[in-house]
Amino acid sequence: MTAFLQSEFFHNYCRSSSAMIGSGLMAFFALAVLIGPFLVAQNPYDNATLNLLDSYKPPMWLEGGDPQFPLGTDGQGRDVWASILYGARISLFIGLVAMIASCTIGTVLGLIAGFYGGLADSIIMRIADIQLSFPSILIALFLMSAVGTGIDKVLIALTAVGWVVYARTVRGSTLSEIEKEYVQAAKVAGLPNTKIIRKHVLPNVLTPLIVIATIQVGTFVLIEASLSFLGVGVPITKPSLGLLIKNGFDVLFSGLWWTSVFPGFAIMMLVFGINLFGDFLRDELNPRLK
Amino acid sequence: MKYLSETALRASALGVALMATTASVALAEKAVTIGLTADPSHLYPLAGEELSSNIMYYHIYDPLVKRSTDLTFGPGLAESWENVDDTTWRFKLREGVKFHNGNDFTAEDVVFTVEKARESIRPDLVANIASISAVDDMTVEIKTPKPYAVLPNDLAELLILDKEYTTEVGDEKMDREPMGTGPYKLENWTKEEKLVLSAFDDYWAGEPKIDTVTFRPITNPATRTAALLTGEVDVIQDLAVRDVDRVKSEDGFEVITRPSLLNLVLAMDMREKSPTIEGENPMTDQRVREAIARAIDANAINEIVMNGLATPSDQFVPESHIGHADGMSFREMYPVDIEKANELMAEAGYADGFTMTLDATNNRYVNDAQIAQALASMLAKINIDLELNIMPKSNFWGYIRVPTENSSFIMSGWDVPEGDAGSMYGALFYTRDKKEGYGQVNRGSYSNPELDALVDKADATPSIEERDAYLQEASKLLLEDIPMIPVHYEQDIYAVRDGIHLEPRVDKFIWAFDMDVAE
Repeated sequence: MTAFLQSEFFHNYCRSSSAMIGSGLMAFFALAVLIGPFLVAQNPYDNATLNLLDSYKPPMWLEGGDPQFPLGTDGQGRDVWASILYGARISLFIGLVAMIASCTIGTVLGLIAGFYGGLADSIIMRIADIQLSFPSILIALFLMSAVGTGIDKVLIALTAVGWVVYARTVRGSTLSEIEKEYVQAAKVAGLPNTKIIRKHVLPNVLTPLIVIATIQVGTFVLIEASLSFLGVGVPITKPSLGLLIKNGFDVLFSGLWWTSVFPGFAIMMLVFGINLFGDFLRDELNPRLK
Repeated sequence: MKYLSETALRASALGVALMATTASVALAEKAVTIGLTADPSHLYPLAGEELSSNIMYYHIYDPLVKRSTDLTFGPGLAESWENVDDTTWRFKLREGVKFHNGNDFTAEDVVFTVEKARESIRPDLVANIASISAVDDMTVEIKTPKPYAVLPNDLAELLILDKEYTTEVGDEKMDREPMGTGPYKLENWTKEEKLVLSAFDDYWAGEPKIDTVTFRPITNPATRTAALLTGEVDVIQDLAVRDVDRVKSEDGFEVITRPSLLNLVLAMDMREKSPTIEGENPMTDQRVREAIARAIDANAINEIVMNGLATPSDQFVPESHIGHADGMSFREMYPVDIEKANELMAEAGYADGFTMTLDATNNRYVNDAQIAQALASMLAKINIDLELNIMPKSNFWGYIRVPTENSSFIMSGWDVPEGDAGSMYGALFYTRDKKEGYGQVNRGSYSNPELDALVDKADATPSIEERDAYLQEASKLLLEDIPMIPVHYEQDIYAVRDGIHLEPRVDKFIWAFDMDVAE
C-alpha cells in the first residue's frame, strides 16, 4: 500500500485534475448504483408502486412540484430521480458485463491469432476487418432485430461489436512479444504452448487492454442508450437511461423537459467520468508518452 | 415566418418570375403535403387493409356507394339503387365515368371486381353478395344470400377496378401501378419516403381543387409535430396529445379534432389453457374478468395518458350505431373499485393473483405503449403481474392472428364505419369455426350460444328495427359477460397550417378531394 502511495502513478493521479474528476464521477455513480435504490422510496420497476395520477409532475422547485419526487415524474408516475438510479444500474451492468465478455473473447482470439499465426490468424483477422468496416451501431441494430429485444440480447449484440478491438490489440502485442528472448527461451525449454501463452505472453499484453476496457464501458453505455432510444433495447417496463430519454423525448416539445433532460445529463456525466479517467490511464500506461 | 411546401414555393417563385417578365398573373398550382403516421402497405385494394392504404385507395379508386365525412351513404359510381325484392338489388351506374387510362367505366368492371374480391384475401368485402350480374352496360343486379338491410353500406368499401387493366397487369403490379376512377392518380412512390398523387382532370365529380398531394410517412409523433412547425408538411395526422397545447399556442397553425369510431378494447382469452398463463386460465371465470374491468381506470387513462383527448367507452359500439343498448354504460356497471376487485379475485380463488402477458402495439393507436404501461400498474393493484409484449404494428397483426397461439390478453382497436354493431359482434364474439364468415377475429375464443343465436337472428331479418332489437340484446349480454373490456374512443387529432381547409372524416380517411388551400 505504501508502495502504491509513493508510486509515480499515484503521484501523477494527485496532480491530474481530470483524473480526479473522472474517478470522482465514477465513484459517485458506483455508489449511486450500489446503494441508491435503498435511498429512494419508489421502485420504478415495480408496477404496483406506480400511480398514473402522479404522472408528469415537474421537479420539486417548480410550481406544482412535489418533494416526494425531487426531479419530477414521467408519464407513468415514475419518479425521475429513482428511475435514473435504477436506470444507471441497468446501463452500467450492461456496460460492464459486455466489456468483460468482449475483453475475454477478444483476448483469447487475439492470442490465438498472434501466437499460432497461419490460417487461424487469417480467419480471425479477416472477420475482424469485415466487422470494423461497419459502424458498430449498425451491427448491433441488425443483430437486435434478428434475435429480438431484452437485456440478454443487448449483451450479445454489444459483445459481438466489442471483441474486435481487443483481438487486434492483443494480436499486435503478441506478435512482438513472441519475438523476444524470454518467449524463445520458454519454447526451447519445451514448455507447452498453452503454458507459454498463459504464463508469459498474456501478462505482458494486458496493460493496453486496461485503457481500452475502461473507455469501452462508456462506449457501451452509449450504444445501449442508442439501441434503447431506437426501441430495440431493454423492455419498456424496466427503462435504462437510454429508454428514459426516449420516453421523455416524445413529450419534449410539450414542455415536459425534465423527463428527458435529467436522464440525459446523468448519462453524459457517467460517460464523461469514464472517458476522463480512461484518458488519464492511457497517458500513464503508455510507455511512449513518458 | 410562414412556410409553404416545396412545390408550392417553386410554383409561386415561377409565378413571381413570370409576373416580373410578362406582367401577367400566373395561376399558382395548388399543392399540399400531408404527414401520415405510416407509409401505406398497399395500393391494390384487394391486397390488404389498414389506414394509410385505405387513404390511398379512396384517392385512386371509387366505390359504388360513397360514404360521406359523417357516415351517411350516398351515390358514388352508382347513381341510384332499388330493391327488386327482399334479396335482390338493382344498381344504376353513373354514365361517362372514365378510368385514369381513359377506359370507360361499365357494369362489366363491377362484376369483375366482385368476382376478383371473392378469390382475393378480402372475400369479406363481398360476403353478403350471393351473385352479381350485369343487366345492361350501366346496370348491375346483386343478390344477397338472405335479406340484408345494409348492403349499400357494405358496398362503400368495395373499390371498383378496371377489368381490362387489372387483368392485364396482374395483382402484383397493381400494387405498384394502381389505376382506378378516383380523383387522383399515382405520380410516384418512394417507399418510406414519399408518395405523390396528381389530380385526375377528368374526374366525374369535377376537377380536384388541389393539383398535387404528397404524403410523407413520419412515424415518430414528435418528429411529425416538428415537421409541421418547420413547414416541411402542411397537414399532420395524429398530432401527439402532448403537443396539442404547444401547436395551439403557435401562430399560423390550427388543431382540428373529431371524436372517432375507433374503440380501444382489451380482449381476454377464454380458453381453459392460455398461452402466457401457467395452469388454468383464471379469465374463464366472469368474476376475474369483472375484477380486471374494475381495476382499469379509463378516466385516469383519458385524463393523463390522453391529455383528456379521448372519450371513455360506454359500450362496444358508439351511441349512434344500430345495436347500442339504450341507457347502459360499462363505466357505470363496473366503476373503478380496487377493493371490490380484490374481493372478486379472492372469491374466484385468485387472491394471490397470476401472471400473464399483454400484447400491444407501439405505433398503431394514440399513446398505445403508454396505455399498456398504465394497464400494467393498474392491474398490479389486484396482484395481476402483467408483462408487456410491445411491438410495432408490422409484427403485431401476425402475432395475434386467430387462432391466437401466443396471446392471453390483447389490446387492439376496433372501429365500425358501417354504423351497425352486427359486423363487429359477428366477427369478434361469434363462436369460432362454426359458421363461415363469422368469428374470424374472435381472438379471445369466446363462445356463447345465446350470442350466436342473437347475431344469426339479426342477420336474417330485413327489418332495421328488429335488427336493432336483437343487437341491443346482444350488447346487453356482452356487457354482462365481459369477454372484452372497452377502454375509450380516440379522438382524431389533426394539425394544419393556416390556409388549409380540412374537414376530418369519421372514418379517418383523409381525402384531398374535400380539402382546399387558400391562394
